[in-house]
Amino acid sequence: MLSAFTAMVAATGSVVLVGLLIQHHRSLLSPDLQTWSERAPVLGGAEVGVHAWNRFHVRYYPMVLVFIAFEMEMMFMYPWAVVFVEEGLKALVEMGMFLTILSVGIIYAWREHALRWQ
Amino acid sequence: MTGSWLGRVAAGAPAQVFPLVGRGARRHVRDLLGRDEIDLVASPRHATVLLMAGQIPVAWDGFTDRVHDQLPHPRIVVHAPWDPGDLVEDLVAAHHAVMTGTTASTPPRGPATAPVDWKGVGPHGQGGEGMMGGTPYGRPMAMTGEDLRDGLQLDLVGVRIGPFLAWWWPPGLLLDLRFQGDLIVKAEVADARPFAQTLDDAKHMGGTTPPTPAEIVTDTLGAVGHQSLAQRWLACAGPAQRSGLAGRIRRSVAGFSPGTGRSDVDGRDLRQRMTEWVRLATIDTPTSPSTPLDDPPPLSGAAAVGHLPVLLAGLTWREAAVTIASLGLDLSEPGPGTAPDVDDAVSATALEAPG
Repeated sequence: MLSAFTAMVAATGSVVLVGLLIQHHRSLLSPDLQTWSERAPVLGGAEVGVHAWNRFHVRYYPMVLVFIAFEMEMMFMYPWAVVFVEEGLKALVEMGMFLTILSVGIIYAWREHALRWQ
Repeated sequence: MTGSWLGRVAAGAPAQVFPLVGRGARRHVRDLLGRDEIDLVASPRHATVLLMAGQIPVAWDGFTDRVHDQLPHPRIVVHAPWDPGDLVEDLVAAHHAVMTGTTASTPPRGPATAPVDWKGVGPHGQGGEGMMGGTPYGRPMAMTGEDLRDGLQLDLVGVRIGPFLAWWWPPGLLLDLRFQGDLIVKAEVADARPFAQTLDDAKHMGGTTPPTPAEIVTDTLGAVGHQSLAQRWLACAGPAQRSGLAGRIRRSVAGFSPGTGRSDVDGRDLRQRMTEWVRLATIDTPTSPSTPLDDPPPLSGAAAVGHLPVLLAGLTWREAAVTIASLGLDLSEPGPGTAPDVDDAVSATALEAPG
């Protein structure tokens, strides 16, 4: 048991050590470490004007919302069916609470026209 | 890496060439597509050899230097300012020399460290208001503007693209694009114009006629990313052979939705324009198409530059790139903006003859 633990510690330690070595001596792996001008993004010769940090609209979010609302719900309901046989009313109330919270998301998705067929 | 085994193996591969297409050199660069010894790559990051073809004005040294630095090591520069002559041999020899280590990789031309520090107003150097404001590394942060699709206030990112984006890109075209997410909301032709590829004197390089429909099809296929199809198209001996590829080429742009890149001038979208170019390239006399009044020729050349802002707004970058390539912007007349004086400002480095 102890030897297995020692082996695990040794393995973890060596991974961390190698990681740190790579972090501090990147030139070992890549002798031609790029300079600032070599790291610039490729724009066909033009200079970078604006910082790349920007926010953009994630347009697939209604689909994600619908997926979580319906798919995740089913993932919980299958094991719940087993629990319901044992627990009865208590489990039914708990599932009711879960579905109530989830339905808020569905109503929001409805408002965002996520359920509209396009 | 002198004499390393991997270097010798890599030297035997086709020379990965990224071209900087200057004045009058476009045809010669396009011809390289058909050569097995040359691999005309999509970006400087893929390349070993930087080909400076044609006349590139001194004023554009900043652009060429930036592209040069974007080639990974080992890299080498080949100049071909005038008649290319045995250009392919030069490129292959340069590739071989730098891969085997007989020629050293060229050092970077730009600064090694950022010329402007990270600087903001916050205690940790961050920007002004929340994520916005401040000028980290001398670059302003994106600010919000109204979105084209639903009027939300979203960040506007300004990106300047060109003048040497790829072999299929109109040489010298410098575009200022503003993106919101994946969409171009505003496009402007910046203070430059496509280099004239149609020299009147033609004393240095070939190319005295505007791009043929077949050449525009080749460039558009390059922009789509179907380079092998472009090579097969280029290898066709004549209109009859080309018509065998017509269906395949139409299918290569079939993924673009109808109306993409549509212009009121010729009444065609990207796909219809491509179909028309293919049709013109597969008839026997492509240079003199009979164009009745109800069937105008596809929008192209100098007239198209002025329409770029309208054409590109609302497109994604990929759609925009293919639309630009389908316009055949090899110009002989000045376009909008102030062009660098190409005639007497030929790059001093470009004057070195190859070999």
